[in-house]
Amino acid sequence: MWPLTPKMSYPDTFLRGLSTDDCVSDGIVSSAAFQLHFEPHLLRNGCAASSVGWEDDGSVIDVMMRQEKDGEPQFKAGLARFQRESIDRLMKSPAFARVLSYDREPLVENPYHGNLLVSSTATKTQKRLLPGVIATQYSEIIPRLDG
Amino acid sequence: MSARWTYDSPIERWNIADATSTGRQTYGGRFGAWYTNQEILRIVGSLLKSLSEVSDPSITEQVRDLVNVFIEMLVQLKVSGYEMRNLPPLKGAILEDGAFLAEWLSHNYRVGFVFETDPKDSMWYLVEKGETLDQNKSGSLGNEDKQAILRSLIAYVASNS
Repeated sequence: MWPLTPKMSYPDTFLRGLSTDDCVSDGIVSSAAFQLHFEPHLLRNGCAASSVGWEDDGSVIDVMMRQEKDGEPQFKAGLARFQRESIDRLMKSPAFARVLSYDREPLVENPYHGNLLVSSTATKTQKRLLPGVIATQYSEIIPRLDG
Repeated sequence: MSARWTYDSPIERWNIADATSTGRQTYGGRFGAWYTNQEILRIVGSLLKSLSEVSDPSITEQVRDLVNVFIEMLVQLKVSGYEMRNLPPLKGAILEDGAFLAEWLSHNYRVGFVFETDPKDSMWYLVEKGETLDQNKSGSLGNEDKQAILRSLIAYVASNS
């Protein structure tokens, strides 16, 4: 049943990790920051999931900045902050109705973890367009302080 | 005026800019040519560097076609007196599904091109940041109007940068 967004409380903002320099260009979040995976074994409730951190409190920044992949910081280019309202607005727009949602998926190592969800039933155009549309909504980039 | 781009040929780079200055006294001389060449390189250089990592010949050819149209337009803009340094650089990235993303980013808009092996699947988009989402536009690059689409998108960027 759509929308998938469970009826639970969400803070006003969330963070998206920026893993490579391709994710940021001249201080602007690139569409490459939201690559969507529609391979069947990677779907979550029939949706491609892009990990986010719900900003329930200030600790989420530390948690995400400390995340590592292959022994190195995972989000080398920092974090992008988004207003949840901007995603709510997209979800209500005719262009993306019934294809965009979000959820919480707390992990042991990251209790703030959640996902932006894009339905695998979205059209090819929607799948290609949404990364850019979502990336355009960022409000600020939080750089790494350790380099 | 035709400006074909071969990114691994510095001589052709020079000739592109030199062609801009020929017969145009305002931009004549080697300094003008050098300046124009540097500006073009600033705008498309990063994209071409990313493109050099693409192994799919179809995608490479499509992106080169795009760059050629871009350079022609940039030269025309320069000749008409447009200040190219206002234009943001084009950025490229290989997506995890093998497609190639070329994106022109501003705080208020983004123009993107997603190239796939089959040119019919390649597409463009224009996303504007605003209160409404009605401004978002997109379409296929696999049709006869491709050049007209590219020119209108470049004109959009030039007039909004």
